[in-house]
Amino acid sequence: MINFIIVAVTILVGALILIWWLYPLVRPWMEAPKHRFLAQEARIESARRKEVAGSDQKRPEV
Amino acid sequence: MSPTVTSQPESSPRVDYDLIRAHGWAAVLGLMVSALFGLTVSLKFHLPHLLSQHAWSTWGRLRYDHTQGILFAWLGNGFLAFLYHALPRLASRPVTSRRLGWAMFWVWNLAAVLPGWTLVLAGVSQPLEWAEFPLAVALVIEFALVLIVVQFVMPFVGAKLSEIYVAGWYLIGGAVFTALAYPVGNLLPHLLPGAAGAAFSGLWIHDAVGLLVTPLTLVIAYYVLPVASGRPVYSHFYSMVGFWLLFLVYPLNGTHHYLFSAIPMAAQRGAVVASIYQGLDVILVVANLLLALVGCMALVGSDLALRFVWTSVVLYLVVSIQGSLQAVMSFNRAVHFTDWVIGHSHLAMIGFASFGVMGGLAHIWERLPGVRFSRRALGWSYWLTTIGLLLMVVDLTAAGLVQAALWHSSLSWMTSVRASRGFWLFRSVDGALLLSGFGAFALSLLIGPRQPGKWRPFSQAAAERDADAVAPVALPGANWLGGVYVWTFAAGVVFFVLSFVVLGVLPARALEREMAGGPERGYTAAELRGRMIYGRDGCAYCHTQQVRSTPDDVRRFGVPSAAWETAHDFPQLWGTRRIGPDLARETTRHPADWQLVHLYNPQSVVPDSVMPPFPWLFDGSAAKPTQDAIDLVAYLRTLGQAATLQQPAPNAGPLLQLDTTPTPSSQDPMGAMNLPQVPMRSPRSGGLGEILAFDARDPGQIQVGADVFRHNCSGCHGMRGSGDTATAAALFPHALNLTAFRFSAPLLSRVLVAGIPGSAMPSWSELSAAELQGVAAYVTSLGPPDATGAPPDPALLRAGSAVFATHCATCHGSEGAGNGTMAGVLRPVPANFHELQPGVPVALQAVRQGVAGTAMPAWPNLTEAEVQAVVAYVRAFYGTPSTVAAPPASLSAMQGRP
Repeated sequence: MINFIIVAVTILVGALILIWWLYPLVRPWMEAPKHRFLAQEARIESARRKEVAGSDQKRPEV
Repeated sequence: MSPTVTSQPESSPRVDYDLIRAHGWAAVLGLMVSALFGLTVSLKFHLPHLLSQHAWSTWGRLRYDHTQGILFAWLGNGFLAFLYHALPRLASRPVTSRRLGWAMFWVWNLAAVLPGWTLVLAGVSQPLEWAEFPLAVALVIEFALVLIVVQFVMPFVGAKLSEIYVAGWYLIGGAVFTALAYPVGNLLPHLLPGAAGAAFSGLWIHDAVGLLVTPLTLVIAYYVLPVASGRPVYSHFYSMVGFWLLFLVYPLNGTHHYLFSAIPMAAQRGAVVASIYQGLDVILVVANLLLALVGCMALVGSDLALRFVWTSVVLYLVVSIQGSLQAVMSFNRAVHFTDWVIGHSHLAMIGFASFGVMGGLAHIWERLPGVRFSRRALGWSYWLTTIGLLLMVVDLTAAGLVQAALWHSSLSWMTSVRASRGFWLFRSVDGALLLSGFGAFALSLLIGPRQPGKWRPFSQAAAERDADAVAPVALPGANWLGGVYVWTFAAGVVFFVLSFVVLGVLPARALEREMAGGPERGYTAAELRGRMIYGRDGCAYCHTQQVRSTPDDVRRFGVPSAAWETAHDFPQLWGTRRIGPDLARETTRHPADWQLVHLYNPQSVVPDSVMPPFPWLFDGSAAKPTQDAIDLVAYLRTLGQAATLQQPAPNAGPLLQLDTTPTPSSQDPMGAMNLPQVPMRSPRSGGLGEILAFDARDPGQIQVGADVFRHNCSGCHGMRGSGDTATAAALFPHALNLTAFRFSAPLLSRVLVAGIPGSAMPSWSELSAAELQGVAAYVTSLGPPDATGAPPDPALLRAGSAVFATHCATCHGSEGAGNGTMAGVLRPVPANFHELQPGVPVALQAVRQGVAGTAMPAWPNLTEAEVQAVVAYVRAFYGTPSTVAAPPASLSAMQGRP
């Protein structure tokens, strides 16, 4: 049973690597989340900085 | 690729700063308290009497609170603080509910951590590694884990799954699988006996690290590294391969905590293979993370939060490779149970997890408006923590290797304890450094200038509106590929269930038949109470109860522990660490009075022991045990009892010359699985002859013996062997005044090797032949000099003979050889005066007052002349041959046979 699981895991991972290798069009889709995450971070960070700047104008020294 | 952005009302922040701050401070408080528990536990290794007067401050309870505090109070709160910051970025949505967040905060801290700590100190706990909080608290934690799923996983359900970044996957996996795995380690060992329950304990021990700590620390790593560097991870594809390998393989690791145990070998081998697989996976994960920093490594020097997280990632690689190495059976055989493993766990929980959380908290604290934050204190914290940790890990790793070498040798157990003392002292120094590093970290979040910005209350509704305004850009083909993620996640759950079946259910079923043949008699009520005390006070965290199927274990402790022996053990108490010796074969090793004295003050009978005393189990002295102490000793007397009764009578010649040489490991790749039949105790292989060869006039041997005596015997017999210690008085029979007797060489040899059944005198067969020769020489040198005066008056001897025949021969035999008709049923056996000569004062006292703790009564009706006569007669036997052989029963009793 344990051998079956280990072999199954190996096959699954092998299949993933095979897909990545055989279908280059899939690669941008697979890599997209890392770019989207940074964009989302930049959006929220930008909003936070605006908040900070706005509040600092009202109260420069805390 | 960028989402459409709409502005949010300026009055509301995107994340809930209040919850971040609350969990952050709770985490820091938890870290300080847990580290203080840890440092106290470490100090007790060289100051065992520190805080030893009260049950709540005993070593075991503080140890439980140390690890549970690190897991739940520190890391748990730290993870939650970070998730409140990260989730809006990862899921593009706010958490499910602010109100739920506050409910979770109070449940986690006031209904789980605080009651857990308090109850453990009060003696309500579970002796299960990483599951020490009592079951009621475990239920609260499980409830909180489900709430965490609702709070942090549900927002992803509303988001587009095909857009989830790898940190989000780790968040989902960690939350869901921990909620599934936590009951496995907490509940099942109470329902399944012994070895079967241990299979599930092993699963949770590893899942606590693999499915809770590791994924959530990796959330921080995958978050902070790209954000701090402004560059994405090297490959999201690699990161997803790493993610799935971790969740598919990690649950299969658990049984590697019980290699060479009674758990079926198939499960053990599977765990070893999975552990190696895991190491390979971590190489991929870490390489992918660190490649993101190529070209901008200078940031690690300037950004303190990033520096913490970078260190965490590097140490993740180190600790994982170390973990894989430990799981290899040939290596595991040597280092398992040693301080090597403790070094490994500190590297994992501090080097990897705590550094990650410290970096994560620092990262978000820098972005919280209005809080105080000191970069200087954080810099100090980094260096103090790093130096403290590295010194500790090097120290414990070296200690582990020394212990492994000594356990592999024929040297006594206490030799390894004495050799470890320096390492343990150094560990406390390292611990103090670590604590100061943690203190500096706490200060960094409390002092320093305030961060810019104004504190504004979080609005759930506003955050929801903001999230709805963000429309992810769809990718070609993403519709059907999005489904792949869902199916893959389902496959992950299936694999988790499979691991549960393979490493837990199947081994338990395989053990069912064997355990059904276990001892019919379960524990008595008193023994069960004793077992509860054993678990409550952490005995299982220093003493294992599993003799592994390895040559070293068998030689030192006896036959390997079998699953059927544990058929009545709910939960199992196998343990995973040996500071003291294994207790699986303790049943006849020490008598009850020795156990009581040892519990009251361990150093009184084992001078170099680091075991803490348990004075609250007594009413002021070792001679006044409470019912708890009596119950605990009753339980200790059961350990190995069933196996002893099942052991066939040895018939291979003199017991002390049995060959216990195990199958050479070179002939058995699985490490001596085909073990020879060995007795419950592994006797010396060299026999008595080598000890008999001692020379009582050799100053070298006497010097060696004096040193061994001081370390091993002086607790009971006193430094000068005069038996005038408080410990001697508490034992029945009292420890002998060695200066008042002369012993023959064969008697000394037999007693040293086999002990004296019915007394507190244990076997010292674990000492080397040279050490035993030395002790024999030293003890002989303590006794009275050979008689040089005139021989006794024949008339006196005739009178003594008459008294002896009337009153003493029934026990001592007609010729004083200790073989009277009653001798076979008496423990300790009556003295053989051909081998033992009492001095006149001690002999007179014995006749007049009897010998407490033996069958020797007082003889008040004898006249003074009769007493003098019988004493002279008895003393005259010494050194003369006995014409009547000693009965086999008494001999076997001396040798410790059942």
